[in-house]
Amino acid sequence: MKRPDWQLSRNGLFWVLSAFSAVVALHLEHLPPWVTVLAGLCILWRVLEYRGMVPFPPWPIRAVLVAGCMVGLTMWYPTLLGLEPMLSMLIAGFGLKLLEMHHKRDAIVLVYLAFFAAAVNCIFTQEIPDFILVLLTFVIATSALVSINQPKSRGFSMGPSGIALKMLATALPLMLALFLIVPRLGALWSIPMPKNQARTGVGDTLSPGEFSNLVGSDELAFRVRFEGETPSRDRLYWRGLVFSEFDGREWTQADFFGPDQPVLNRSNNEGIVRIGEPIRYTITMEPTHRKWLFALSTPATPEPGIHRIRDSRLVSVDRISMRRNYEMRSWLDYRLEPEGLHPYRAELERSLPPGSNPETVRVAREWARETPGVEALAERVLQLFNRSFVYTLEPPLLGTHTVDEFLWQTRRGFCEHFAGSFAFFMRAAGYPARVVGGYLGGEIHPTENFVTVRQYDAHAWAEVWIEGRGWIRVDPTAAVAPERIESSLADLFRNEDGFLADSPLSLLRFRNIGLVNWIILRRDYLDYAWGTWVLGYEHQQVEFLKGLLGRVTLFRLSLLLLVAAGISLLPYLVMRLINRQRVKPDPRDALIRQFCEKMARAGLPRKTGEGILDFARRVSAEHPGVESDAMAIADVYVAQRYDNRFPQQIDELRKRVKRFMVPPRK
Amino acid sequence: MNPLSSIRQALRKRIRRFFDRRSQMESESHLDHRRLYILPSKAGSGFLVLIFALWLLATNFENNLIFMLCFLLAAFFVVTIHFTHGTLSGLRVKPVRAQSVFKGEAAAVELSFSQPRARRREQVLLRFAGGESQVITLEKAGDTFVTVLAPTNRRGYLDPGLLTIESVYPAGLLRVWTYIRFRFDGIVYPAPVPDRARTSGRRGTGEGHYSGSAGSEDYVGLKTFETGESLRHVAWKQYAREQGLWSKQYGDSVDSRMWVDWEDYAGMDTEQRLSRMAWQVCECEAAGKVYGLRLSGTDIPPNRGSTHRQKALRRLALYGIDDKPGAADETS
Repeated sequence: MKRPDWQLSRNGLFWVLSAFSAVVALHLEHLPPWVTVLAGLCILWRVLEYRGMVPFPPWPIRAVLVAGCMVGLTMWYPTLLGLEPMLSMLIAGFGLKLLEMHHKRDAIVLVYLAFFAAAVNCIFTQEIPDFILVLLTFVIATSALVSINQPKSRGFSMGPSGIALKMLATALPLMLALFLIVPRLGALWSIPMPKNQARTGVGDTLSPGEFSNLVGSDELAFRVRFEGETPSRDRLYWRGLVFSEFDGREWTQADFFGPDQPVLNRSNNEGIVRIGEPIRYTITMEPTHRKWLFALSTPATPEPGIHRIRDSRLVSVDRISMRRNYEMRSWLDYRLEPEGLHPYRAELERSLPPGSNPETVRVAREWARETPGVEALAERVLQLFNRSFVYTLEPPLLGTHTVDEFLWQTRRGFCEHFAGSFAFFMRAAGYPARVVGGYLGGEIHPTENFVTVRQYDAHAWAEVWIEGRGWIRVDPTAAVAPERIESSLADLFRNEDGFLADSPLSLLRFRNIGLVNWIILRRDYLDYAWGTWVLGYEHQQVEFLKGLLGRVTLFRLSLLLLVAAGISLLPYLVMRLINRQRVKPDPRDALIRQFCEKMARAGLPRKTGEGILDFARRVSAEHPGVESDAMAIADVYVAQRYDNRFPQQIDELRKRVKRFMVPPRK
Repeated sequence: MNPLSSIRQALRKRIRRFFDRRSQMESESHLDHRRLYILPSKAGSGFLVLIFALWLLATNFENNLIFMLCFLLAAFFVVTIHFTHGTLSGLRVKPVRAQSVFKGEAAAVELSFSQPRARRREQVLLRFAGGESQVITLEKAGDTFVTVLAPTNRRGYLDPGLLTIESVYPAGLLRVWTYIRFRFDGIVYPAPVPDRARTSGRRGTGEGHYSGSAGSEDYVGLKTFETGESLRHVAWKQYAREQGLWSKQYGDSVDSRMWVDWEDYAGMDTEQRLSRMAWQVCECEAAGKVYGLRLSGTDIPPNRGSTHRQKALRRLALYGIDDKPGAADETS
């Protein structure tokens, strides 16, 4: 059966178009430009059509458009199975559907699509401001849903958004309860992840200039929450990458699966001697689209899917394409491979490209003869650094023999220059050495127990192997610029051009202003809490529910849901009570009701829908004795209630109703 | 049409019959949780699919923000139950009056909706089975009167069957509805069937007058307007002076006493007879004749005027029907 109101109303159209526009705006950077243009044109066409300026496109045009879109998407994307192609298809389909939307039914389907497409945005970005935009889109889509169901006569109106907001607000407590208790199952099948987005961060090679570029960025790398005391800054060497191979210019990581790279499982402590108690912490890492993870040496983790390989790197089984939490334990006192190196490793960690940096090789051999022992030689190199080198963000460019030029000519460099040259020098002297990349320090939040590590905290240092002691961390930068270790890079280079070059308006530039600093600290904390409690909630879920409910039983979980539902509806019920008190009947109506009750007792009740004058007439006809009184009451009431010209004397009516003698029952 | 829709239709009919049998004649109905049914609408089922799709997305991408959005919509669905239910709950519905009409015509039925407090209730849909639906919006406290057209397909007491009151407001995800069967005071007269061959009647003397209009030009006087009378006869002038609703009577002075007699229509079945007699009554009244009704034993003595006409039609309508509203449907 066809309902009389199957057609989409004006206001409904307005809201559906708004919801679509909001979704397109959300996804601007994920859509091919021509899809955005197409969506805009569809909106425009629909608006013009509505105003009667153009007709709906006939079906051949629509068919051509659909086919064109399909072809376009196939050509634009290498495969249609990714997340972006599917999203583009969704948006393009949405836009084209607008061109044939007349029915409420179509509009409702489109609103559902809008909800879905908006939610997809959370796969791409999970920042608080972005999520707020998604929520806003949800409000618009909900308003569209309401507007579709409102009477057709209404013109453009914001009304639906009020109702939508009210309903969504009512839903919030229940949503929260569901969020807290619904178990997360984990991925059901493998899914396409968003394409690698170029993000700054420590890369998998190390060449001169690599790290000084990172200093331009204030992007978040990861946050760490320590369970106990936060260690001092100079111990916060976040070790991530281990560069063991050098080709004369670039340091690269050794193959994961080299002959000597057995993947050690997380309980395997082979080659490590750990001393004392570990410190415990949780890292919330931003997506890097790479596999490596950062931790303090030497780490162990209860997390599945994280492996430690022989050079003590941590490697995740999956790429980090979304913000990820992992728990860590680290023993800051350790011996790494003290017993001796596997021959393959000993070879690898000493190897040099033939003919590279001849001057350095020559000097290294000479110094090695003059100064026997690894420690003494290292000390001598560091002293050289300390005496005549400059730590700067903008080192001069280097030619073919980078180490030679740096060590004996320019002598100005950033951490990667120092670490790389140091490792090269040690290798040239015949000792195993390698470069390690990661982050140093980070910002320790003054009140909350966590550390924020940003891209500009990127750092490179070296490790040398000493018989009996194993791998020892040596940070040549510390020899040149000890203040870099103790304080943040931000403090060191605040006024240099290279620092935060990519984000000229970053608040971090103005930290010396008290208020700005306060804002940054609050923002950091909020971001941290967001990462821990929202984005990584599944890691907290069990503990949190235990804390909240005592024991996690089905009964208690149901109770939580019920309480939440109760809270949802509480304001509504309270409003009803308040409303009840507010509406008072008109006193004149109350008097007339008394009169009618009197007559009802006399066996003559007023009928539903019977006007008071009609009723009085009927009373008069039945009981002629009270005719004048009854008619007078009716007349006075009508005059006072409906005719503004009469003085509002309620007493008159009251007197008459009071005095009215009930006629005897017939 | 496709077989699915016929199955659906059969199912719908069955459900309707179930409620029909369950329902009792009422003179007033208070819509509360005992009376109101609420289930997801078609759009609501779609919404549940959407929630499921979001859940899948969130689970597969292990994305807590999408979980949050998914739960937001789920919670929204739950609170919508409350809001949609609120669109109808707390209403009182009463029949006020009903038009008496001939079978086959739609009877205008006036209902009163009352709510204790001012509250906006939009998109309330009223519909009798087989009738047009009507959408109303209630706002103020107190009574609101609404006229709904009820289809009639059986003579006797007006019983349009179940009145559906429903709404999907505000989100369209759920449909709250109730079925009410009201006792109305209207009568459904037999559908008049012209039968000029027998207009003479047995003792009629008014031949030539049945064509009506020529003989009823003369204004005779006023009488109270009765429901069912032609609006053309309303005395608007008097009405405008607030002297009440009167209808103008026309007639002529020709003596035209005649009988509308059951026996005249021998050889037909009851309904055919009653229809023809009803037509005859109307003809006579329109022609201003004085006529009586003979209906197996009970006679209505000759007279004229709308009260008389109504009395005659009522007698025809209720022929063979117990004098109790609501009993009509047992006969068929």
